[in-house]
Amino acid sequence: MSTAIALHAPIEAASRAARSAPAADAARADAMEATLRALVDAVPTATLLFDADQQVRYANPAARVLARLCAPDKADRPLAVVGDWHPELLNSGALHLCSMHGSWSGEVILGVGRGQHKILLLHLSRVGADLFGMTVRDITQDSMRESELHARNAELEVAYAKLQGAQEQVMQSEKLASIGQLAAGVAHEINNPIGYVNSNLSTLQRYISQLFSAIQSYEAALAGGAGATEAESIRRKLDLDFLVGDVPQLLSESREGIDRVCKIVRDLKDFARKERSEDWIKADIHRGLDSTLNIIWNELKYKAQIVKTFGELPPVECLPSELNQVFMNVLMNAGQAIRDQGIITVTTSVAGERVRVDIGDDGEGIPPDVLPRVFDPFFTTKPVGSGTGLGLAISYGIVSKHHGTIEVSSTPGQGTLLRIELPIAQPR
Amino acid sequence: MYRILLVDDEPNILSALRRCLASIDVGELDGEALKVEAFTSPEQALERSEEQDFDLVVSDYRMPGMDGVEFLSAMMELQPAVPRMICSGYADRDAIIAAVNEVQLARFIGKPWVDEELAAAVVALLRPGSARARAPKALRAQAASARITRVEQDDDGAIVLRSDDPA
Ligand SMILES: Nc1ncnc2c1ncn2[C@@H]1O[C@H](COP(=O)(O)OP(=O)(O)OP(=O)(O)O)[C@@H](O)[C@H]1O
Ligand SMILES: [Mg+2]
Repeated sequence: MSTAIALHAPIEAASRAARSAPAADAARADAMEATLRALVDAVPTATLLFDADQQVRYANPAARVLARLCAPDKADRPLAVVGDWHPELLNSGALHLCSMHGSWSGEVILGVGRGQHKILLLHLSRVGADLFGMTVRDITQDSMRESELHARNAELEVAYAKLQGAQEQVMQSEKLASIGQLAAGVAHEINNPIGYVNSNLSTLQRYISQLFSAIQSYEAALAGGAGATEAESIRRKLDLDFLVGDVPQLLSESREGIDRVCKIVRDLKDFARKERSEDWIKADIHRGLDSTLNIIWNELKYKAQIVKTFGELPPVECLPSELNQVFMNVLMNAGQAIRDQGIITVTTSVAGERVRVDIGDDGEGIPPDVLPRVFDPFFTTKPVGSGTGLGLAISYGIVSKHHGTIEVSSTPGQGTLLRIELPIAQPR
Repeated sequence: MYRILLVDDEPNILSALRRCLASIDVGELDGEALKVEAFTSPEQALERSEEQDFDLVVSDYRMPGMDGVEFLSAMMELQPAVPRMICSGYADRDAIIAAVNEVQLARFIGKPWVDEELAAAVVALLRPGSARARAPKALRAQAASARITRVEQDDDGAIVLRSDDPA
């Protein structure tokens, strides 16, 4: 029964027992000491006992390894005095503190030659009147690992901050790039109305000079006392009937052209505004869809028929111009998926607390192995120079920012459906 | 009488072009009248061209379904001799240059255009006074191809059409 108790008893107690007990007790104590020694010998932590003169009374094998490690050049000499192991191993301050408080622990760093060093965790304890126990654990690896971790962590933090900055830049430049891509189309779209308005103005100028000469002819004829037949012949000569008939037509067509230019410019402004946090507003999703469709109509009309099925939608709390960007990316993809002629459907509805925007196309579709990657940044199947592969990645980011979801489903050869769901109100 | 075929998907452009062409004085065309036929659909214009010869074709570049170059190459098959002209606001220079060379354009006119310039180009291409209208088709084909232009970009990036025959 005694073994278990003795194991818990301090060495001091064991030796006290040895002093006061008769022979049988002494034998038991010896056995106890042997057991304890075997135990301490087996501990992988350097453990030693030394006295006030730093004379080593006991050192377990791990401590002897440490001694050689501390002083490789003294390997052939007896290391009876712990102070000889290494000048920095046991400093007098630590010993003093230990004598005063009964124990001391701390880290010491030892130079071990060739620019190498060891980091040791020391624990000193006073175990008798002039006896000290010391355990030493080599934590060089741990603390190297730790400081490496710290360094890595710091690096990661820097990298993360950089990435965040980069992402913002990429988003901004992607927006600019897609605007650039649109610019050529928009120029065409604006040049058409400007073209006919401009030409109509030249025509109007000719008409007006014809009218002026008509007035002059009438005046001359009137002064000469002319009658209805002469007036009629002037009319016919200057083709005034045609002119009078064409002017209202010309004016209304020109007005139409000016309205178109205004609309394009307004849509562009809506589209290109840079968003700020206070720009979260309750907005009409249909308006966003319409103005985006207007902008890219020029890209789409040559290939696609647009079928809009708009439900009743409440105003949605959102960043409208960012959502427009999502719609644009998805619609452009739909258009690009259609080779010759096809149909793009835009369907909106309410689903519980969310609104749903479905954008479908009957284009080439997405093969199953590609499907999981379409939201990856820089993933594109389009030829170099025509797709950056950011359209859906950025759309995903924007929709997530709105606490919404964007999902894709597709049947190769038949078409693709992008489903965007957005909460009507943002969570507080 | 000179027959001109206009193709543009935008009806208001067609109206404006008609007005512009109507301003050409018949005196400049040796007293011949101009007859303009306009289509918003290139396909319909081609259908019409199967039964009617024209003296000049003016087409937009970007149109739904069939673009101007496709339309003009189909037109080239039907009526090889007819001078071809593109009037477009398309801002992509490379596409225009490719187009001009591909369908051997006689002229490229940008939108917005200047009425006087467009009218002058039309008059020049109809070549009144050269008795062209009375010449057999084969000769006209030659005449037309002799005018084939080359396209280059000048230092400002502007598109320059060069006529091969000495001006
Ligand atoms: N409607 C669609 N139909 C077929 N494939 C699609 C569709 N939408 C996306 N994809 C596929 O997903 C890929 C990634 O789309 P994403 O919009 O992110 O980039 P991209 O269109 O290639 O380039 P860009 O940066 O110009 O948008 C596309 O290259 C295409 O393969
Ligand atoms: Mg895309």
